[in-house]
Amino acid sequence: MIEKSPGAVGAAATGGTAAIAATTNAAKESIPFLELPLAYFTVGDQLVVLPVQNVIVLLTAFSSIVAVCYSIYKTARGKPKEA
Amino acid sequence: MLIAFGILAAWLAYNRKWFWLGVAFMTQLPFWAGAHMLFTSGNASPANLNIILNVTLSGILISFAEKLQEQGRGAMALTWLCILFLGLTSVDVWHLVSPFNSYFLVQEAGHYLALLIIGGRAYVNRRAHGIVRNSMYPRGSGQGGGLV
Repeated sequence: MIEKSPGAVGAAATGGTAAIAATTNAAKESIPFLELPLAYFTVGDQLVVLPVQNVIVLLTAFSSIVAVCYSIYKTARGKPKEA
Repeated sequence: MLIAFGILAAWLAYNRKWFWLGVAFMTQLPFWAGAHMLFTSGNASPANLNIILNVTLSGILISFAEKLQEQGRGAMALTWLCILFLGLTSVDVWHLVSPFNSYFLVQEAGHYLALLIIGGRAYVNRRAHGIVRNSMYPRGSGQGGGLV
Protein backbone atom coordinates (compact mmCIF):
# COMPACT_ATOMS: atom_id res chain seq x y z
CA MET A 1 0.00 0.00 0.00
CA ILE A 2 1.32 3.41 -0.89
CA GLU A 3 1.39 5.79 2.05
CA LYS A 4 0.31 9.20 0.90
CA SER A 5 1.97 12.25 2.35
CA PRO A 6 -0.49 14.64 4.09
CA GLY A 7 1.29 17.53 2.37
CA ALA A 8 0.70 15.95 -1.01
CA VAL A 9 -2.92 15.28 -0.10
CA GLY A 10 -3.28 18.93 0.91
CA ALA A 11 -1.76 20.01 -2.37
CA ALA A 12 -4.15 17.76 -4.25
CA ALA A 13 -7.12 19.14 -2.30
CA THR A 14 -6.19 22.71 -3.12
CA GLY A 15 -5.60 21.67 -6.71
CA GLY A 16 -9.27 20.72 -6.85
CA THR A 17 -10.35 24.22 -5.95
CA ALA A 18 -7.66 25.82 -8.10
CA ALA A 19 -10.01 25.46 -11.05
CA ILE A 20 -12.59 27.56 -9.23
CA ALA A 21 -10.09 30.31 -8.46
CA ALA A 22 -8.32 30.19 -11.82
CA THR A 23 -11.52 30.53 -13.81
CA THR A 24 -13.17 33.00 -11.50
CA ASN A 25 -15.25 34.79 -14.10
CA ALA A 26 -16.44 31.57 -15.72
CA ALA A 27 -17.28 30.14 -12.30
CA LYS A 28 -19.22 33.25 -11.30
CA GLU A 29 -21.23 33.21 -14.51
CA SER A 30 -22.12 29.53 -14.38
CA ILE A 31 -22.62 29.25 -10.61
CA PRO A 32 -24.35 32.47 -9.53
CA PHE A 33 -24.56 31.61 -5.83
CA LEU A 34 -20.76 31.81 -5.53
CA GLU A 35 -21.14 35.58 -5.19
CA LEU A 36 -23.86 35.43 -2.54
CA PRO A 37 -22.69 36.86 0.79
CA LEU A 38 -22.31 34.17 3.43
CA ALA A 39 -20.67 35.91 6.36
CA TYR A 40 -20.60 39.45 7.73
CA PHE A 41 -18.27 40.80 10.38
CA THR A 42 -16.49 44.03 11.21
CA VAL A 43 -12.75 44.63 11.42
CA GLY A 44 -12.28 47.91 13.21
CA ASP A 45 -14.77 50.24 11.57
CA GLN A 46 -14.86 48.30 8.31
CA LEU A 47 -17.67 45.91 7.43
CA VAL A 48 -16.32 42.73 5.83
CA VAL A 49 -18.56 40.62 3.60
CA LEU A 50 -17.35 37.16 2.63
CA PRO A 51 -19.08 35.63 -0.41
CA VAL A 52 -19.54 31.87 -0.80
CA GLN A 53 -16.54 31.56 -3.12
CA ASN A 54 -14.14 33.13 -0.60
CA VAL A 55 -15.48 30.94 2.20
CA ILE A 56 -14.94 27.79 0.08
CA VAL A 57 -11.37 28.84 -0.70
CA LEU A 58 -10.66 29.72 2.94
CA LEU A 59 -12.06 26.43 4.30
CA THR A 60 -10.13 24.36 1.74
CA ALA A 61 -6.97 26.33 2.40
CA PHE A 62 -7.40 25.86 6.16
CA SER A 63 -7.68 22.08 5.87
CA SER A 64 -4.68 21.99 3.54
CA ILE A 65 -2.64 24.16 5.91
CA VAL A 66 -3.39 21.73 8.75
CA ALA A 67 -2.14 18.86 6.55
CA VAL A 68 0.99 20.79 5.58
CA CYS A 69 1.71 21.69 9.22
CA TYR A 70 1.42 18.03 10.18
CA SER A 71 3.89 17.18 7.41
CA ILE A 72 6.29 19.84 8.70
CA TYR A 73 6.02 18.30 12.17
CA LYS A 74 6.73 14.84 10.76
CA THR A 75 9.69 16.10 8.72
CA ALA A 76 11.14 18.04 11.65
CA ARG A 77 10.80 15.05 13.97
CA GLY A 78 12.59 12.81 11.48
CA LYS A 79 12.61 9.05 11.32
CA PRO A 80 12.18 7.24 14.65
CA LYS A 81 15.37 5.48 15.73
CA GLU A 82 15.26 1.71 15.70
CA ALA A 83 15.99 0.02 19.01
CA MET B 1 11.87 40.25 -9.83
CA LEU B 2 12.33 38.87 -13.32
CA ILE B 3 15.94 40.11 -13.40
CA ALA B 4 16.69 38.63 -9.96
CA PHE B 5 15.16 35.31 -10.98
CA GLY B 6 17.04 35.36 -14.31
CA ILE B 7 20.40 35.94 -12.61
CA LEU B 8 19.75 33.21 -10.02
CA ALA B 9 18.49 30.79 -12.70
CA ALA B 10 21.58 31.39 -14.84
CA TRP B 11 23.86 30.84 -11.83
CA LEU B 12 22.00 27.67 -10.81
CA ALA B 13 22.14 26.35 -14.39
CA TYR B 14 25.86 27.19 -14.61
CA ASN B 15 26.45 25.19 -11.41
CA ARG B 16 24.13 22.42 -12.64
CA LYS B 17 21.78 22.72 -9.65
CA TRP B 18 18.78 21.53 -11.63
CA PHE B 19 16.69 20.59 -8.62
CA TRP B 20 17.05 24.04 -7.06
CA LEU B 21 16.45 25.64 -10.45
CA GLY B 22 13.13 23.79 -10.60
CA VAL B 23 12.27 24.84 -7.05
CA ALA B 24 13.15 28.48 -7.86
CA PHE B 25 10.90 28.34 -10.91
CA MET B 26 8.02 26.89 -8.88
CA THR B 27 8.34 29.54 -6.17
CA GLN B 28 7.93 32.25 -8.81
CA LEU B 29 4.66 30.87 -10.16
CA PRO B 30 2.28 32.26 -7.47
CA PHE B 31 3.76 35.75 -7.80
CA TRP B 32 3.57 35.82 -11.58
CA ALA B 33 0.07 34.33 -11.61
CA GLY B 34 -1.04 37.17 -9.31
CA ALA B 35 0.84 39.73 -11.39
CA HIS B 36 -0.74 38.31 -14.56
CA MET B 37 -4.22 38.82 -13.04
CA LEU B 38 -3.24 42.36 -12.10
CA PHE B 39 -1.90 43.26 -15.55
CA THR B 40 -4.58 41.53 -17.64
CA SER B 41 -7.81 41.89 -15.68
CA GLY B 42 -6.88 44.82 -13.48
CA ASN B 43 -7.60 42.77 -10.37
CA ALA B 44 -5.12 44.28 -7.92
CA SER B 45 -5.89 41.81 -5.15
CA PRO B 46 -5.85 38.28 -6.52
CA ALA B 47 -5.89 36.93 -2.96
CA ASN B 48 -8.05 33.89 -3.79
CA LEU B 49 -5.69 32.69 -6.51
CA ASN B 50 -2.62 33.41 -4.38
CA ILE B 51 -4.06 31.49 -1.41
CA ILE B 52 -4.61 28.43 -3.59
CA LEU B 53 -1.21 28.61 -5.28
CA ASN B 54 0.76 29.36 -2.10
CA VAL B 55 -0.84 26.49 -0.18
CA THR B 56 -0.36 24.12 -3.12
CA LEU B 57 3.29 25.13 -3.35
CA SER B 58 3.72 24.61 0.42
CA GLY B 59 2.30 21.10 0.04
CA ILE B 60 4.63 20.30 -2.87
CA LEU B 61 7.68 21.67 -1.03
CA ILE B 62 6.99 19.72 2.16
CA SER B 63 6.40 16.59 0.09
CA PHE B 64 9.87 17.05 -1.46
CA ALA B 65 11.28 17.66 2.03
CA GLU B 66 9.71 14.44 3.31
CA LYS B 67 11.23 12.48 0.42
CA LEU B 68 14.67 13.96 1.12
CA GLN B 69 14.25 13.24 4.82
CA GLU B 70 13.48 9.59 4.06
CA GLN B 71 16.73 9.42 2.08
CA GLY B 72 18.62 10.88 5.05
CA ARG B 73 19.47 14.08 3.20
CA GLY B 74 18.89 17.57 4.53
CA ALA B 75 15.48 19.04 3.93
CA MET B 76 15.81 22.16 6.04
CA ALA B 77 15.83 24.72 3.22
CA LEU B 78 12.69 23.20 1.70
CA THR B 79 10.99 23.19 5.10
CA TRP B 80 11.83 26.87 5.62
CA LEU B 81 10.55 27.65 2.14
CA CYS B 82 7.33 25.84 3.02
CA ILE B 83 6.98 27.89 6.22
CA LEU B 84 7.64 31.08 4.22
CA PHE B 85 4.83 30.25 1.80
CA LEU B 86 2.49 29.44 4.68
CA GLY B 87 3.34 32.93 5.97
CA LEU B 88 2.54 34.41 2.58
CA THR B 89 -0.76 32.50 2.65
CA SER B 90 -1.64 34.16 5.94
CA VAL B 91 -0.88 37.53 4.33
CA ASP B 92 -3.28 36.54 1.52
CA VAL B 93 -5.98 35.61 4.03
CA TRP B 94 -5.42 38.87 5.90
CA HIS B 95 -5.76 40.80 2.63
CA LEU B 96 -8.91 38.88 1.69
CA VAL B 97 -10.56 39.76 5.00
CA SER B 98 -9.19 43.26 5.41
CA PRO B 99 -7.48 44.64 2.26
CA PHE B 100 -4.37 46.74 2.75
CA ASN B 101 -2.30 48.81 0.32
CA SER B 102 1.11 47.19 0.55
CA TYR B 103 -0.15 43.68 -0.28
CA PHE B 104 1.67 43.49 -3.61
CA LEU B 105 4.87 44.77 -1.99
CA VAL B 106 4.70 42.14 0.76
CA GLN B 107 4.17 39.39 -1.82
CA GLU B 108 7.14 40.65 -3.82
CA ALA B 109 9.35 40.79 -0.72
CA GLY B 110 8.33 37.25 0.21
CA HIS B 111 9.27 35.93 -3.20
CA TYR B 112 12.63 37.76 -3.08
CA LEU B 113 13.19 36.04 0.27
CA ALA B 114 12.38 32.68 -1.31
CA LEU B 115 14.98 33.33 -4.03
CA LEU B 116 17.46 34.32 -1.31
CA ILE B 117 16.87 31.07 0.60
CA ILE B 118 17.28 28.99 -2.58
CA GLY B 119 20.39 30.92 -3.67
CA GLY B 120 21.89 30.68 -0.19
CA ARG B 121 21.23 26.96 0.02
CA ALA B 122 22.76 26.36 -3.39
CA TYR B 123 25.72 28.66 -2.58
CA VAL B 124 26.74 26.93 0.64
CA ASN B 125 26.46 23.61 -1.18
CA ARG B 126 28.09 24.77 -4.43
CA ARG B 127 31.02 22.38 -4.05
CA ALA B 128 30.36 18.75 -4.70
CA HIS B 129 28.26 17.54 -1.77
CA GLY B 130 28.68 14.26 -0.01
CA ILE B 131 26.99 11.97 -2.50
CA VAL B 132 28.73 13.47 -5.53
CA ARG B 133 32.05 13.53 -3.69
CA ASN B 134 31.63 9.86 -2.81
CA SER B 135 31.03 8.99 -6.42
CA MET B 136 34.01 11.10 -7.51
CA TYR B 137 36.38 9.70 -4.91
CA PRO B 138 34.90 6.36 -3.89
CA ARG B 139 35.96 4.98 -0.56
CA GLY B 140 36.51 1.41 0.32
CA SER B 141 33.98 -0.29 2.53
CA GLY B 142 36.35 -0.22 5.49
CA GLN B 143 37.00 3.51 5.37
CA GLY B 144 34.06 4.80 7.29
CA GLY B 145 30.47 5.52 6.52
CA GLY B 146 28.93 7.68 3.85
CA LEU B 147 28.95 11.43 4.11
CA VAL B 148 25.71 13.27 4.64
